[in-house]
Amino acid sequence: MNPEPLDSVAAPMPTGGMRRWAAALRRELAHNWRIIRADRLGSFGMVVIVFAAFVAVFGPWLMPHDPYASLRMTDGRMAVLQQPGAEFPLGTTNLARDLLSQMIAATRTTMIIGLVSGLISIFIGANIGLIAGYYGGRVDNVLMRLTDIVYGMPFLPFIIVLIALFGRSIGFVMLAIVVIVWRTSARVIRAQTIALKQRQFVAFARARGASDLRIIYRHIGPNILPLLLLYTSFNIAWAIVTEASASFLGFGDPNALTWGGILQDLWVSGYTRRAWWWFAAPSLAIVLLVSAFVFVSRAYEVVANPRLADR
Amino acid sequence: MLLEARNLCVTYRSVHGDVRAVDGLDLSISEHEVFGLVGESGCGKTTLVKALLRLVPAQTRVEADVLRFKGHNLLELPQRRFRREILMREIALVPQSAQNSLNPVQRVGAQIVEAIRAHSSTSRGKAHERVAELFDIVGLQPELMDRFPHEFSGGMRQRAMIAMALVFEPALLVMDEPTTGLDVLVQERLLRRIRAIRERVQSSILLITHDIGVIAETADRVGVMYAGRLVECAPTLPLFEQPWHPYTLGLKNAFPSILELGRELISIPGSPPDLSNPPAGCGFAGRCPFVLDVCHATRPPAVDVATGRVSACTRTADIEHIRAAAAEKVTWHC
Amino acid sequence: MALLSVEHVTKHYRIGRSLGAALRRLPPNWIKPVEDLSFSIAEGEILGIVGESGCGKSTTCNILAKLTDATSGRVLFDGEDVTHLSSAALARYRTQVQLIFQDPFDSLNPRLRAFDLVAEAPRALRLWDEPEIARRVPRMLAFVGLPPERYAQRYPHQMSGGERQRVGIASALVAEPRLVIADEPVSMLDVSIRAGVMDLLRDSSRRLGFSCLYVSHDLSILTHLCDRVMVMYLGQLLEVATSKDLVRSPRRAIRIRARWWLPCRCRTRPTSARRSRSKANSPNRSIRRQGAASRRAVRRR
Repeated sequence: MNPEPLDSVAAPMPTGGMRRWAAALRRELAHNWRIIRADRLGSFGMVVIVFAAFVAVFGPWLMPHDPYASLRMTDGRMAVLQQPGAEFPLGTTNLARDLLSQMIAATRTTMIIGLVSGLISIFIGANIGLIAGYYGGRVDNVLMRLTDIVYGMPFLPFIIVLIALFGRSIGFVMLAIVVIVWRTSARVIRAQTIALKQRQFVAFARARGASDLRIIYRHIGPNILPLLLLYTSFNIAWAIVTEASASFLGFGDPNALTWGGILQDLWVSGYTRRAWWWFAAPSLAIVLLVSAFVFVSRAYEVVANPRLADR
Repeated sequence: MLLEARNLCVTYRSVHGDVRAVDGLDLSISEHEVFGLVGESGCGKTTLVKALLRLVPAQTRVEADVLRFKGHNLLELPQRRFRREILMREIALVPQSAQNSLNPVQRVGAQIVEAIRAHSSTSRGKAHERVAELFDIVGLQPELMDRFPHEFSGGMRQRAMIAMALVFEPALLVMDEPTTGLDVLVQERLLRRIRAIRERVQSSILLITHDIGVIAETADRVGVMYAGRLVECAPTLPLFEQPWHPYTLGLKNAFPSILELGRELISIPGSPPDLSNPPAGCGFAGRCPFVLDVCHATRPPAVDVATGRVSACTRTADIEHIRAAAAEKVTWHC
Repeated sequence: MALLSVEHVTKHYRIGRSLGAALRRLPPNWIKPVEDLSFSIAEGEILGIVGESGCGKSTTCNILAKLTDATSGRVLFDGEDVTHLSSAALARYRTQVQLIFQDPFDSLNPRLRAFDLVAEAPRALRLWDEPEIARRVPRMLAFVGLPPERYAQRYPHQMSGGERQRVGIASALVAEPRLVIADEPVSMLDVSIRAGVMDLLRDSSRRLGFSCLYVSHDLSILTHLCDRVMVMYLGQLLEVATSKDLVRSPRRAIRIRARWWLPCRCRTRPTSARRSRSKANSPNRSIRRQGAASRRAVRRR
């Protein structure tokens, strides 16, 4: 036997664990893109998300007016509580502010808060789930009791206390969201990890000399990737809703406008019943964006359940 | 003739195109006979059975010149009549991995009673008696009727599934890989039990497996299947003593024999052809050490090589030379 | 000197008691998959272990591969006591002792390609740097009969059972171990492809010079492959003999039957074969009773 060393291995393997994780992630996303495209609701959701991202990124250039400026109409009067029309496509507020500009400006903040909190919460939840599920025993007990305690924490009193102690700011809103949202993903990923831990390929990895951390992140990790992406999508959706609720109740940052904040302005102004356009725009936007993320998650279900997918 | 099939073809749809799982198969099973169908994984055995029982996915095409069972033309029988009269009653299937088909949260006896009452209007009492009778036939103690599946060992679960299949005394009992996943000792017991069942129940048995040893002990006649086609068919003893087809010779080489303890086991190199693109000629031509050009071009017909024996090989004339050469390792691995 | 020496190894599991039993101070129940096992493997030898399911052979494999620890007893590898190892010593041990798994359909990570699966041991154990791994892995794939240009990038679900098992073997052999433990590597494969995989193991053992511990429930495979065979029953070692001696003149009356493919109605079997086959049909009751008695004694303790 004397086979020559093969240099023609088809695709060069990236070296280094992190790069391999990144390569795996890229492959997974590319594959998932195909899956989402195949599902109509998922495609629709993706379109909405891309559109919202576009508005978020290019917001400052798209806004027709300053969102905080009180505007006058062409005939010189203050543009107070104007219905949607040619001049103000989404109408104006009681302070003569253009709603369209407000919506565009708020999109960026809402998206950032939603994405960042969602991603942080899935990061925390996934790691806790993986570690608790893999190690079991005391580690699992401690982490799951922690999760149970957090489950017992009601959102509203928690955020009230936070705001009362530290004042209203984006940071604390995001903190409150992260604390509430990571719980479910931790439980779910822990369950999946426990199931995967029993599989022979984990024993295989251990017999080949893999350390515990290597098994968790290199072997079990890629197998929970579909579930992880599913819950990332969910978490972002939940983060957006939670942020809108918090802002609506008045706990949002007064300097950073979000869609929930626009609703809060409406509520505080007392014109809820009369200025339907003021109510419609942010509500519809929230519903649409959250639904978009949920539709995309639904398309992922095919990936999470391997029997439905054809790789 | 209990079951007769001529030129049976089963084609199913997959994302990669049409796959010809069964390609022109001729099969005949008589009454009170154990017919063993042997072949590697992926040769189409399970698809054949599923096609017979109409358990194939919706878009599968099942075509044959003749497909008769006890006088009924299976191709033209309406679905309702098929389900009422044939499925479970005349032809019963013990599927692959049957051991895992039992509901883990229901007692075994109760599951069989449920099956009986779902397919006929028998009273609960009579159904219980029937189950007790079946347990006796398959060699399980009657008190096991009230146990859960996890309290049964692998061999016992397999026997419970056979009991379920025997409920309506089918004329044809089909067993798909009954011994896979079991220890040799358990396999031995199960095969002995299958022989005992056969004496008591008078059904024909179609036994499908990849293990020639199982066939050797249990079957009256053997069909060797490869790439969706039947390459050889003969009574058991003559098949093992004097195989006619090179594939059968290859299979014989791969099995240890108590008569030749020191003999080297010779495997067949290569792998079966891709059935989404079935070969024009002989299916085994890609791996056969005795291949000629004509083998790639035309499909060899199944010819009668002796009484009751059929072989689909172009080189039946050279069989003595082929048999001698097949016993050497160099023929297969040069 | 023996490469591996197992001395009086025992493995016990405690089964939980019900609350009532605990309150009544009943002793806990024990399962003893392995009881007072002692044997040794020489350099370059292929030793077989045969026994029915539940006889403790898989547990023995797991103890030797360090997937679980023995409750008592010693394991010596190359003269060194390896019964309890620190993680650094464990890593060193794993470069010398590797395990081949039974189930080719579950033992390969479905998300890793063949290349990564074979490269797992050298990467996890930090044996070589990436360029060296990129040289050795394709060579090992070719060695086990899987041309790397076609197989290195395949996922497990794109390979047949036999091919997957070859990947498993390649992943065990790439680290150049001195002892390979094969836990029923062919029992889940088609009978017609078993010979190829077994031949691969035997030829590799000769060429690469490792010892092999081959576990199976099928004696016919072992007599073909192994120099010596151990018979295990109920966690204990019954006897050790060379393959030929085991079949021809058994020392004890209990035998494990083999899957010979002779038709049972064949009358051309030589009488000696028929005699050993009929002996196999009636397991020695006294040994069975001994086993049962010892289990009862254990429970009473």
